[in-house]
Amino acid sequence: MKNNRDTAPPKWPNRLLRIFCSAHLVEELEGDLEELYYQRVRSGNVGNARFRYAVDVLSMIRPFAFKKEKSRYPQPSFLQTFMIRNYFKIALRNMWKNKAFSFVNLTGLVVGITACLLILQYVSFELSFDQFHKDSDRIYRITNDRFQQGKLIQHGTITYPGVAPSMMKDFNEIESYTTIGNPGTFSLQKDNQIFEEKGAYVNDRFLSVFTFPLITGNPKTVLKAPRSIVISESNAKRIFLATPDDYAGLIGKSIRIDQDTEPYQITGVMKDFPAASHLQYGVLMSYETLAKTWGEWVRAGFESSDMWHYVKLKPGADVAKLEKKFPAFSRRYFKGDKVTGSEEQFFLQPLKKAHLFSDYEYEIGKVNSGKAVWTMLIIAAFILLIAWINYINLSTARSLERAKEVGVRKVAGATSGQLIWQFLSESLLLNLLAFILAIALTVALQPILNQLIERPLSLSLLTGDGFGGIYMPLVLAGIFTLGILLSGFYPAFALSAFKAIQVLKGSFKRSTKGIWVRQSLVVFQYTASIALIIGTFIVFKQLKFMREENLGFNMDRVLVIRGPELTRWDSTAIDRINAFKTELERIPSVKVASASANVFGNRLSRSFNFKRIGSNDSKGVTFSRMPVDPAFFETYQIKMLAGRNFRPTDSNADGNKVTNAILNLSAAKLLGFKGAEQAAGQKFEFNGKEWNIVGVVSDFHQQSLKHAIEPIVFAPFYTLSGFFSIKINTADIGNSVDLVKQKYDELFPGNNFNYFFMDEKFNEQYKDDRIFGQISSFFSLLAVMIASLGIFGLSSYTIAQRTKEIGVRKVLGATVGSIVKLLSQDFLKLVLISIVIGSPIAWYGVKQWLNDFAYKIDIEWWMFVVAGLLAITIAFATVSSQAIRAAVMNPAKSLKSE
Amino acid sequence: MKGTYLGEFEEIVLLAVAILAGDAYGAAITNEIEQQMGRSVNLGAVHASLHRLEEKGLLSSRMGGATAERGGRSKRLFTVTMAGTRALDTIREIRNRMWDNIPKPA
Repeated sequence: MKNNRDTAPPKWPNRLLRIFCSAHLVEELEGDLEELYYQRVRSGNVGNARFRYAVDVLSMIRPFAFKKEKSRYPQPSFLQTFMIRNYFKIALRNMWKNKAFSFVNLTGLVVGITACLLILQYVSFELSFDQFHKDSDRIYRITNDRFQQGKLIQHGTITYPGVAPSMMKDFNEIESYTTIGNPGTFSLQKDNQIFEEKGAYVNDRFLSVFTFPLITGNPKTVLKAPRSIVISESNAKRIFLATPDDYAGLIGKSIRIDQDTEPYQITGVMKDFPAASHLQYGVLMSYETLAKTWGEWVRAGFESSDMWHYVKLKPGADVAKLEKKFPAFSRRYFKGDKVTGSEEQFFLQPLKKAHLFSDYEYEIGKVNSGKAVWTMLIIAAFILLIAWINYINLSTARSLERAKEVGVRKVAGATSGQLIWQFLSESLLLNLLAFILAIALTVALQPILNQLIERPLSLSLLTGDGFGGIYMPLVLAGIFTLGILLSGFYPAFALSAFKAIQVLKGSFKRSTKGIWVRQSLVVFQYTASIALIIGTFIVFKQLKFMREENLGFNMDRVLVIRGPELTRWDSTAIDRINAFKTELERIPSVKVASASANVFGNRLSRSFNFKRIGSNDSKGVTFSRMPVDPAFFETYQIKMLAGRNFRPTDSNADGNKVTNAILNLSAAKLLGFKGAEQAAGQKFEFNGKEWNIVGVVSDFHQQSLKHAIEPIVFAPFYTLSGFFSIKINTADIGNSVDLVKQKYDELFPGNNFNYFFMDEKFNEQYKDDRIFGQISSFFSLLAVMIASLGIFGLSSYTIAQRTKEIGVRKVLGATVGSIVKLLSQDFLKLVLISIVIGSPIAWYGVKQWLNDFAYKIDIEWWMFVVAGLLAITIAFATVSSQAIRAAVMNPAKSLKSE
Repeated sequence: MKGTYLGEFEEIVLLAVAILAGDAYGAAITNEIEQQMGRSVNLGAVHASLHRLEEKGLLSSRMGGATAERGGRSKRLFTVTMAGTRALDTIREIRNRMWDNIPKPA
């Protein structure tokens, strides 16, 4: 047989064959090919033989050639009940054997899942606001931006009464609208008893635009007639001591509201507003009432901006297109700025955004920061990730211990598929256990959290009652399943991939293979932790800054009482107010008492078109108004910069005769005066009247530092529905309050005595920020803790593996310090990398948060250094405690072992 | 097990294995078919049929009989099983019956 180069079969088909053909078939196929080839060569044409050879190989590209060889051994199915039982048994034994390790692992998971569940409840609740309305996606609030000389002077939800009715008339897209007027706290009087409750005047479509169900009464008519009132269920119980059977009997009963001389008729009882509603009213009164008490202008006026409107669009209406028609609408009704003296722009704000994404002035609803909610969500995600990463790191780090088990199992015939299942079932078991414990812990911690953040949270928010409805539990279940699988997969694959021969021969030492995975996971954990530490740190700096910043007035020990709202105003009112103040000042502990229409922390009303007299500039400016008495500036220690304080003679029972005013420095500057001295003694024009600027006071923060200082005009007007501020100069405040109450009851009988302390009230503006700070710092701490737990477990493991090395080093003369350094530096390197990555992330996040404040701290480099040092300290403390223990161990002991 | 329906080519391969009685392997079967049918056959097609027939239980195989001609590689030797023989008989009977039923020209 010739076997030279010319007649040998071509090589490439063979190579191809070996690629696609499964190994066990190659031999016989090659044999057949070669046999046929040489037969064909012998029978004549070599070319033809070569061609047929190639064709034969190509013809073998068929399913039979790809099939894997059938195993000669029986193939038990993957999941047999007795094996599964065995997996769980081994898992439990393993957990039991390494108690400390399992504890660290389980703690991380339980804490992580608990934190995540608690935060998710909060997020779900906040995001679910106003979603209970039937057509919530079609309801919009009209917002109104006001410009003067091109400058935005008001960005509000408050607007003119005529806006919504005119829009309804002009725009086909609007299906319905409701108007809300005069929202606030009302005194409901029944048989000499006074009940205070939040409420508003709303038009008769309120109950059809929104979904606030009535228990009794016809929703179409209950708010039609003037002086109709619908009360909530809890008010029916509180005021009328009614049981559900009595509700129908309440209809037609009368009740008095504030100072209105005529009684209101109860026309219906409604369910209490859900907690997740940005509007929170216990009583609704008919809008027609306002037409009687305030005047006809409330129906369609365009002069005073005092109402809030919500519109419901028709299904399928294009909001963007509708908004484009608003500029023309504004020109039509306001004729440029002829009607109000300013340019009016209107927008539609989706109801969904009213709670979380609303930065408007004159807000009537409950508002929270959407940024805060998203931040919490991110923290929750971080915590959960960190917990799962801990699981991954700890289980793979321990792999050496399990390597022998894997080897023996493999020798006994386990496939890697079975081993993967085994380790997955272990992670499933641990995660399930953690989940059950986490739910128990969540239920236990719920009341504390609810009290702290003043929200009615419960697990039901995650099972269909909150945001996303029924999708929420499904999505959560998906995320948890995915997390459990992913965190279980890596260790399962790493462990099942061990080679049985290596492991059992003992040549298998340390698993350095997966080390970079573990290291990058640690870096992720620490990056997240450091970003959270920095964020929390800066949030707290800002909160501290706001608490301690000089506000421009002194509110220490100022007791404020609400004015006697139920006392009717008459010509003697000013004398009675002054008499009350004189009486108050007779109390030894009272230093000075003052009356004002408003106090700090509330947005003041604004007026437009203040014009300086003697200047050529004919355009008016906008001021906030604050009616005060002469003692006001002294009570709050506000500095008089120029001119004089008010005198009793400046005020007059006839408001038209009052012509003296005081400005704050910002207002004086806005009028064009260089400074306080230049403004004092000058005049301005407002409301068709000339006013004398008798004095100028320094600027102060009327509201929280989130708001800029406003130009304010002070006028010596009095009101009975304002406030009395009483500066007390003793520590015995309780006694002083009692004395003040005595005088109040004597002089203003029939009024409720309501009081608060100015500083507490003012700082309440930061309540949401404070809660945010507390909650986010608590959970950031948790995140850091879990991450440290992970580094603790990981370092204890690597150190245990290096016991012998440490022993040898000590024998050769290494010091404890050098060993500690050796063991810690690996981890510290990772922490340093994390700081480098985490700092810019934190910087960006905090910058976003700080943007909400008009007055804020600067972000400085040392803040990052402090946070970084803190992280290093924590990491070092965690690692070094174990490193030192390993380093001081007697080398004789460690070298003897094994 | 798949049905015992035989395709035309499968039937031919099965017959070739029967003819070669004990010395049936890929190359020999291919040669046998080429000679009997007078047309060229791809080795791949033959092997595919052999695998199918073995799956159907009509053939069984064992390894053996390496020769120098094939570079010392062993052959897979096929034999017809009882089921295979029965299948061939059935086909033959059916064919015969059908032939018999053709009306004879007068």
